[in-house]
This record gives sequence, structure tokens and C-alpha cells, in this order.
Amino acid sequence: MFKQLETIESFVTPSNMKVTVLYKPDFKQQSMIIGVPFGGIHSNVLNKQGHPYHSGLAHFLEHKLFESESGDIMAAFSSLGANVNAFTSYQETCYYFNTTSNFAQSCDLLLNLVSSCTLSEESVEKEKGIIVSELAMYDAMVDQALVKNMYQALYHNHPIRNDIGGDADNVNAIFKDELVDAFERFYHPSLMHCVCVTNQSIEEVKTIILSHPLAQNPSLPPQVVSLPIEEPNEVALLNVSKTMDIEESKGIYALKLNAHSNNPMENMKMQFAIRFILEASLSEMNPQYQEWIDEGLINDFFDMDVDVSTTYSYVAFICEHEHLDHVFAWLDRALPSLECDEVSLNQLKRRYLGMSLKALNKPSSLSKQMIRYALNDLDFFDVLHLFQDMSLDDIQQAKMSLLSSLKNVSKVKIEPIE
Amino acid sequence: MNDETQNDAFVSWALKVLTHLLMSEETLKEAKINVFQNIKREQENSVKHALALSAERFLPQSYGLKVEGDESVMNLTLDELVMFQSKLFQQPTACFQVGQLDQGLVMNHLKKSILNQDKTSLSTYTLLNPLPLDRQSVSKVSSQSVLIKTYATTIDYADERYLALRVGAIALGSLPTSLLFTTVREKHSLCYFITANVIAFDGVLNIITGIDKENVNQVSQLIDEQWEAFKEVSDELISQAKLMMLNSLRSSDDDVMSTINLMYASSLKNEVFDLNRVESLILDLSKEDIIDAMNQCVACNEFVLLGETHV
Repeated sequence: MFKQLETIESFVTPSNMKVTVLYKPDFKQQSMIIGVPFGGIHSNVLNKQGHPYHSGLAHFLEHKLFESESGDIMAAFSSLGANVNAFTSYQETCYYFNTTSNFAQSCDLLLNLVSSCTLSEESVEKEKGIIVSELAMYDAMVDQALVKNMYQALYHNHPIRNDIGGDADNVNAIFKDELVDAFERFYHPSLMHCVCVTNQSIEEVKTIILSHPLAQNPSLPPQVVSLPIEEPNEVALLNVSKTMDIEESKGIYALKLNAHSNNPMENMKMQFAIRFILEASLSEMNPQYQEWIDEGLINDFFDMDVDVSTTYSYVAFICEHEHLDHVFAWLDRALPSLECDEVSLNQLKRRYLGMSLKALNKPSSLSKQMIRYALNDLDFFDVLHLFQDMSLDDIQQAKMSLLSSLKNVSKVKIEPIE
Repeated sequence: MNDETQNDAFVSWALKVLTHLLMSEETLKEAKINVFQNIKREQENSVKHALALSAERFLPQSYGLKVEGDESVMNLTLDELVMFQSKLFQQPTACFQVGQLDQGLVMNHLKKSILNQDKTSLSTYTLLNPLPLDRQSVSKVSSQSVLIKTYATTIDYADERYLALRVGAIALGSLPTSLLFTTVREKHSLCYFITANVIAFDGVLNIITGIDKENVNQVSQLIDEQWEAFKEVSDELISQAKLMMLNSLRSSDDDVMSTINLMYASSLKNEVFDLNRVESLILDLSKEDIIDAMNQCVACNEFVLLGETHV
């Protein structure tokens, strides 16, 4: 008997919302995610009065969108058996649900959720306590503190210096008008992307989405005016040292790169190329890795992060050591001699292909990965080709970019309280 | 792994690894360092640290044991590990394979292996012996305090009322519409997270929340009030909790490890996990069954990790 294969289709609604549907007939879990290009770094956007938004505004709005005139949206999802949630990152805000039943009704609810913003001053005030509590929770986490201090060390003016959720002062200064202003500017269907991973046919999903009012009427999105980001190449702070109630010192050695451009595909390619050369040189792929472990320079906490966005790019090495200066000195020595040969490159291509294919088996995380690509005008499967086609020349270019940034280093230490 | 030859090779390899400890002094040293560092990192996480400290009161019961161990892990020797390994294989062993495999061939292969044992599964689940209600607090330099209220469920994992307890815990504090979430977070804005979790094999229900230290008493009282309110829990909330539990169970079908976990948990009761049967049992639960199961919970500890600007 013919078995329907997994398939994918993208379409644009009359309202210009971009939709991707991944049909996975053998999976029970289904999900829908809607992303809006409004995140933590958009605190340089000007409001109606011409003032920049408060930091944490996108995150605050994410919290408040779960409030509706027609009742409790959370309760409506729960009644359908769907888990609904949302997250705000630096670049975007995303709303999603996972379910094994009542997919069509849940889709309708999620589309409703991002369609309107009905707030009262009273409810906005009440939310402040919850958000401040959330920020306090993150402040108590050493890994969050490392990243926060790293951004503030690397950047002079870039809005990424500010926490995604803002700080207590900014949160307390946000009122209803500013939230509505942001909603009207950014929650326009033509700026939204929607990804569904479902066992329902693509035609059925199309019908569900296209019959929703959010999909129907075309209109122009409101104008968004932002303050220009004037960011020097040099880091803001060479060294940062803080204390927390922790057991072992932790640090970040961060390179401020100048590897980004306005082209998301180029940025993604550069991000993979940098990641490849770093993994080839500083992961277990390097025979010396065991020596570094034996010497106690690194342990299983050691990690690397690469981010090449349209307005910033950096590499971070996250480490744990009683004497962080030893690890930083080792990185000072290791980074100028990064290498990736053809054997390593091919191994990395296979490894990344394997990881990407594995991701296809998890509908909930797959939809999150796909929406992030979609909001950057990237396609999940194009990205697979991107690293499959990676050449040694691309790696060399990434190496040059890293080498040219070796003077732009911030070293962040968080040490135990004496 | 869908290829049978590969699968046989994998099973043979896995058995070899399990029965012949491939460990040297060097790898043991590295493993000990990694474990010890992980233990220290757990202490840095306020919630995990608070959970470990709050459970200590129940020693020597299993709930009080730290699964990850303590600093004494650094004293482990290779001989001790080899001895442990040998003892481990004298215990009943469960083996699960999930995949597009020929069941007959796989079973045949396993029957010929060391895994084919005529041993009965051990009941590795237990019940917390309730202690008189007590309150402890420990200070930590932190921007947030953590409150943990511990209850002995008095219903063990094999008890027919266990599913009712699980559904009740979801309605109490594992849903955005749960009593705890809607009251402590949504109505009073006192926290960002608050959850009620059942630890199935220890017979424990914990309510955990991150709050400001000034609000500890108020939040504790609100939690107590929600236990009272549960006696009048709405049909709608119960229905939502059932649906959420069904959703979670059905989703496990998409994930190999979740499937194995469910199979393993059932094998402890000498049962084979049957999703349809469990679904029916959940749907058949009455509100009274659920309230009755929750009424069996006994409050026995309240722990506060007080977040201070300095200690």
C-alpha cells in the first residue's frame, strides 16, 4: 500500500504572513509556532513620541499577550489538551503550542493570541512583579551572569548589552501605551512567520490558517524607525571580574568579531565555518584535547559559542577553573594556530548532517529551529546544503576573520565569594 | 537502528561493554573529576541545591540520598568499581529495544545473551515515611529565595490510586490553569514559577517556587490554602489535567527514550506498558478519586533557601 511520505510546503497568506507546513504523518505530537521579529535587541526602536523603547519591552509584551478580552487563553489551550508557551530571544518573540489532539482549534487559538492586544493598566502593573521575579531567577544563575557580563564587556552601545527581559527599573517604567505601540508596529501579519509540524494534511492546515482573519486582509506594516547602532570594533571592557555564591570560578573568553553582514545566508555560512575550525582545533577531534583535560585546563564544562548576526558577531569560550588566567593564557596561545584539514572538515559535515537529521524527529524542537531560520529568511534544508558545501577556502576565510579579531578580546571572570 | 545485522552487532558490543569494565586509573580519575565538578555545579543552582538540602532531613530514606553522590566520590577506587559492576549483573536486568525490528529475531538474540535471566524485577519504588512537619532555612547569596514544601504521598507507584495522584498534582500545580499558578503567580504576582511535582519512586510530592524572601510566609500560606481549595476543585480543571497527562503520554510514542522510560517504569510493577489501557484508566478517574488521592498527602517539611545580598 502506498504510504504518504513526509513533505514540506511553504506559502504566503493574503495578509502576507509566511507559513511553512511540515507534514509528518507518523508522529503523534503536533506543533505550531508563530514568530515575530521583535526581541531583546529592539530597544533602539523609537516609539510614537520619538523615544527609544525601554529594554525588556518585547519580553513584557510576550507575557501580556496571554491576556484576552474573551477570557483566559491559557485555560482555553488547557481545555484542548495543548501545551502553550512563548519565549523572547534577542532577535524575536515566538509563541507555540504542542499537542496530540484538537490541532485545528489550537491553531485558531494561537492565531487569535498574536492577533490582538487588549490590556488594562491594572494588569500591566500586576505583571511587573512576575517579570521582576523572573529576572531575579535568571540573576541567580551563574551561566546567565556570565553571558550578561560578556555582552556588556564586548559592546559599548549595541542593544545586546541589555538583558532580553530588561532590568527591574526598565520593567517598572513600562506602561500600557508603550506595549500597545510595540504590538501595533511588530505584530503585523506581513512580519510574522508561522511553522506547523503536523500529521494533518497540508491542505487541511492551509484551510485552517487561511480561514483565520489574521491571514486574510493585506495591509502595509507600520513604519519602524530605529536609532542607528554605532558600535566600535574594539571591546568595551578588556576584563570583568565579579563574585557569586558559587563553588568554582567560571569564565568567558570572548572575541568580538567583525564577521557579520546584512546577508543572513552569508552570516550563517560564516557561523558554521567558524564553528568548524574551532571544533576541529579545540574539541575532542584534536588529539591534544586529552592532554588539556589531563592538565586540568578544561573539563566537561568547557564550551564554545559562535553567533554571527546581521548587527554583531562574536565567539565565546566558556570555562571553569580555579585559576581562570591559566585557561585564558592557553586560549591566547591556541587561537592563533587554529587548523581544520579536509579529513576534519568531512567529519564535521557528517556530524552536523547527523545532528540536523536527528532534529527532524522532534516536532517541538524542530518547529523552534525552523522558525528561527524563517525569521532570518533562511530555510532549514538550504542550511543543510550550506554546511555540506563548505570548502577549505570558506574555513580559511573564517580563520582570517578570527585572526583579525584576536586583539578584541574580553575576559570575564565570576569567582566564588571569599 | 533498523538493520538486523547491525542491531546484533550493537547488542553484542553493548553487552561486552557492560560486562567488561573498560576503565583504567586514568579514565577513572577523569570521571571522578567530572562527577565532582557536576556535584559542585548542582550546588550553584539554587533550586537543585535547595532540593538536595531539603531532602537531607529524610535520610536514611531513599529520598534523602543524593543520586549524584558527594565529595567522597573522589575516594572511589578501581577495585570498588569492578566489584560494584560484578554485583550489578547479579541483579535483575531489564533490556528494551525500540525500533523497526523483527521482534522474533531480536528476542531470540537476547534470549541467548546474558540478559536472559530468570529473576523477578525488584520493587525499586518506595514510600516516604512521613516525619513531623518541620521548617528549615539556609541562607545563600542570591537574588531569589526558593521555597520547597514536601509531602509524603502515602500512595506508592504500584497503587491503583497512583494515576489519580498524578492527575491531582497536575491540577494543583503543573498547569498554567492550576490552583497554585493562578493564585500565587497570576492573582498575587508573587512568583514567576511554581510547580507541584510527584517523585514517583520515592512517594514524594514537592511544591517548588522561586520568590522574594519577604514573601515566604505569605506564599507558604497561599499554598496551604490551595490544598484546602483542592477539595472543591472544578470539573474543568480536572478535565484539563487529564488531557495534559494523556497528551504527555501520547507524545512519548514519538520519542524512543520516553517509550523506554514508560516501559521500564511498568516493568517495575511486572507489567507491560499499554498506552490504551492507561488512557482508559485516566479517563475513568472520577473527581472524587482524585480528591481522595490528594487527601492522602501528608505535609512533612518546609524548606527555604533564603536569598540574601550577603551571608
